[in-house]
Amino acid sequence: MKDYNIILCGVGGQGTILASKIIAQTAVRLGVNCRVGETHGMSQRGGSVVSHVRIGDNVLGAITPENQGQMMLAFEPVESLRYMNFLEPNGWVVLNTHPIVPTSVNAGLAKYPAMKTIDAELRKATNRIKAIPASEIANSIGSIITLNMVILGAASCVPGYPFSADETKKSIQELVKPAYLELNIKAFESGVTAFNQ
Amino acid sequence: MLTDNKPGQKELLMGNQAVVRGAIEAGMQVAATYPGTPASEIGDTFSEKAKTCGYYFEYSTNEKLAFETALAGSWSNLRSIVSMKHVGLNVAADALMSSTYGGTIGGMVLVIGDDPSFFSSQNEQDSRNYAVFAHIPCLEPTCPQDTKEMVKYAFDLSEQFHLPVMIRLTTRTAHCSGSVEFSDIKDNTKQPLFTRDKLRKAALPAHAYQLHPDLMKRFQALEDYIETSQWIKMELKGKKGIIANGLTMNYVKEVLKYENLDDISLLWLGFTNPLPKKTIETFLRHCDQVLVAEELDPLTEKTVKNIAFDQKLSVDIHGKDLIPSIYELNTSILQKAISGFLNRPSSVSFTGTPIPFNIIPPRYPVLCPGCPHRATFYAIKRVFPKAVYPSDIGCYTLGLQPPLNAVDTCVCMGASIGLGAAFSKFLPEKVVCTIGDSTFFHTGLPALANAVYNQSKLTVVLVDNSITAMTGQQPCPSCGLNSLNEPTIPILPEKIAEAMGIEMIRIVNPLHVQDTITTLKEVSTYDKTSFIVSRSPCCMIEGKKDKRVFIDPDKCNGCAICVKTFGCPPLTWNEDMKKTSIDESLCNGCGACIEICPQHAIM
Ligand code: SF4
Ligand code: SF4
Repeated sequence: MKDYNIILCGVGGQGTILASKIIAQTAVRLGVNCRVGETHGMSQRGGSVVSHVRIGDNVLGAITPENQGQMMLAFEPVESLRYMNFLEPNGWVVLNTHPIVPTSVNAGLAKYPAMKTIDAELRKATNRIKAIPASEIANSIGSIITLNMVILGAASCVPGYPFSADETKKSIQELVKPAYLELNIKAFESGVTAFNQ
Repeated sequence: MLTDNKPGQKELLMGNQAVVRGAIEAGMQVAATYPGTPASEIGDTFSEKAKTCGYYFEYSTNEKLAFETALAGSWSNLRSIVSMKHVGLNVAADALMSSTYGGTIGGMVLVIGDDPSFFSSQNEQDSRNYAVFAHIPCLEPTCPQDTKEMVKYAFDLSEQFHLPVMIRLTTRTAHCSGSVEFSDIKDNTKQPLFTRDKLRKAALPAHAYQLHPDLMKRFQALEDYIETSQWIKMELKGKKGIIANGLTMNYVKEVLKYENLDDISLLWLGFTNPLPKKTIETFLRHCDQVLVAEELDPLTEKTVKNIAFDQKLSVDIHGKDLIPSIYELNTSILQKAISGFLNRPSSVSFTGTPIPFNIIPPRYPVLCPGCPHRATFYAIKRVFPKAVYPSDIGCYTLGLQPPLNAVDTCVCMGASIGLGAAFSKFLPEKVVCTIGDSTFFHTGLPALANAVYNQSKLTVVLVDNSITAMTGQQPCPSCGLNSLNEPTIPILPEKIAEAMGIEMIRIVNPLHVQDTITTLKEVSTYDKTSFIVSRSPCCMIEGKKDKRVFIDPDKCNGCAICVKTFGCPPLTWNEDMKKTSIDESLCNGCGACIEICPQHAIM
């Protein structure tokens, strides 16, 4: 299988780790080589976080080399810029439009850029940007905790994404507690709908 | 499931979980740890599976004790494993350095999580140095599958050479997930057996003197043994060769693939102590130019150069002249090094679109919304605005960030009290230190005894949230839960302080901000060692509170005191309205900020 590198970035606590696990679980079940590289520990306390999911026969290291990422799942707008160097030219971005303002901005020490600016900067790397109000969708379903499923749903629609929506749903089933399964699948499907709108 | 006895089954496991699977397959019976990133999930997983698998597991109160627990397991003829982060090995080093003379009995494995690039640590020491220092074997995996196999292998090796065997992980191997194929699980119901042997188990000077030659003999036998090990792989091709240890070979191989280079000879060292000298010599005789690729210190490079010198080989050896000796390596760093080594331009670009750093606001980790530590720091700053603030290792180190700015020092576990007591004797300022409950039991106890005994003027604020929070909420002695999360009697720090003879002891709930301030004021004029327990549970265990906290926009006059001095993340400053509001989706409902607003706008 041709290498496919996915960068998941956001803020500690947004659920990027479970999202990466679900993608990798799908690869393992289908017998495809994969590696996940994650940040744990201190940055999980509301800091900037990034995970890499690397799929394909040639993959060895846990971290994607710069310029080699086929897709980015940005759980928070400004975080997409912090890791845009990993994207290949014109790689895909699924972007959650809901900002989480860092304390540095609240304390008046920095400014949060306008959405227009973020979009313009990101376009220096790629024009394939699918912006969706994923946090709002998750909240409307019942909990912000399902944000990662909304984003995975949208990701499964990206042309070239290696796994089908059904395979991904199977992994959600394997990894999410039964009590939350229905909610999570609903969120995943809303992500699919949002991508196709 | 991680504990399934189904050979051939494949599961997605993180490196840390692969350690646990390897130990279970090897029939391990004793496991101990003190949590620390990047090794924490090893202990978490051991704790979770202990009842199912029937081995003994404990969260020891520090790494030295964890090491001793495993050593006792080994001396009871049981397979034992101990894990910790790299700096924990500094604490355990005392036990490690002397345990090797008499040697281990039941297989003993020591798993160390190094942290190149400082993801969650105060230094980036290269723990291979300890393996060299202590004369113990060190293995370094490339992926979760290797990790599992190496752990199993390490138990056998330890029993063969009577040495603890180190598995050195780094953040990238500990937190890398991949597919792991299971093998069968060995029986772990062996009966413990202690054999009296004073020569080997009591390190008196005369005994250790006798045993040193024995240690050297075992190590030498090991050097010969590893030459043919499965963890050394040599591929002889062209005259240019690369030697790489552990996961560094991943990066090398990726570069060779991206660049279509297939004539390079390779020597992979999964064993990084001792090094296979004869194999390296063969490699050096084959090549005329060699690059040694390793993360952090040039340990392999030095040995390779020594071999070339001893054997009078005229091979051109490169290493740290092309590869940095700080921070973690990656594929693009190796690409640059390899193209320098081969003196040819690279054909693939690993330079992405430049990051517009000038418009990206910094996003440092922060204390959680509703974290009691924030309220403690706020109160300390109100009462002691000009004090010196030594602190320690834990979530509360984040009190260093603006707007709290209530942490001045952080060196190692327990150093808040150690430094603080001494500062209080030298400096004219008041000294107020903060230390967490888990850290207090780790190395704070002897430091507190020292502070009292040497008559310090230190105010110790024990930020007691009844958990080891930073590493993922593991239980600790003050929380009333044991290592398997079953109820036990909590050890109360205030009772310890009392027993040590401290007279000024106070207990506050930091979420009652004004009461805390009143109590601290009372302490401020006291000039002997004082001890304040600021107790409120970590909000990761408590969860969200029912209370809805909001700001009345009519009462908020825009003074911004809440965002500028307290800075709980839900408090959001609205630049257009010049007022603060609370982001209710983030707010924990703790209510601490209510007492901070001078306008009583928060309710
Ligand atoms: S995990 Fe607990 S101790 Fe750590 S910042 Fe959050 S609330 Fe505070
Ligand atoms: S009530 Fe105030 S201090 Fe507590 S979490 Fe909400 S905003 Fe933070």
